[in-house]
Amino acid sequence: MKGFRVGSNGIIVGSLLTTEISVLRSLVEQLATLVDGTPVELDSAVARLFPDAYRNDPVEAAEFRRLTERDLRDRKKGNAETVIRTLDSTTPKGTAMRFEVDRGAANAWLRALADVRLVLAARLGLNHDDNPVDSDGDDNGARGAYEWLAWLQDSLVRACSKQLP
Amino acid sequence: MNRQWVTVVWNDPVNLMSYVVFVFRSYFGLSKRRAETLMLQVHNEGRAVVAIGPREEMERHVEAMHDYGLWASIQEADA
Repeated sequence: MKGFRVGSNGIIVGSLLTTEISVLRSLVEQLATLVDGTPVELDSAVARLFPDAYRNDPVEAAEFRRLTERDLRDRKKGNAETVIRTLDSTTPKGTAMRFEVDRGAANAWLRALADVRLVLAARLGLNHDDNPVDSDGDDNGARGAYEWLAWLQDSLVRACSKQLP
Repeated sequence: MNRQWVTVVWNDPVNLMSYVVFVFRSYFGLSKRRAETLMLQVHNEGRAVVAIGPREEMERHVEAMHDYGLWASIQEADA
């Protein structure tokens, strides 16, 4: 559980345990399936990934959706696939698995981690600040993954922020 | 004069503060200080206007924010 850091050559290096990689891979695969096919009307998590661009104008919101949603879905699916490719090309280092992410892959990773967290939050009912979760519930695994992903995404954000002008 | 539109980013309890700041810096090219101010406005007031301009440009911004997973919408600027 080391997360991301900027390597000496400026490339971002990730380091995760094999168990972490397997959890992440499974979640990102689910994301890819979800953004590829599930309609917004059928799933609150998908609805959060593709929100109405016009909040008070259903006609304009539908038109915006018609023009942008397919492309947005393809990009989100592409981000998920980039993460999966990275996770499939790790090399052992010590007790962890090591991998590199270039700038393009880092951008895909950031977005895919954000999307996975949004999906998990919808599943856990965390969409509102005033909606605490029962920590003794059956969702402990998902809740743990959600919090771990926050840590992981933050570590990537920190590495990427170092490369901003 | 052409009507002005705004891009609004709404608060959500999921996206990390550090990530929202990163998005504002990398996409809009804002300074760290300005990005943090806007992020805190989203967090504390529930929303913030992050851009103002022609409608098509604001629609591009909203699509980009949705690409990042941020919750954004477009509306006409107050007259």
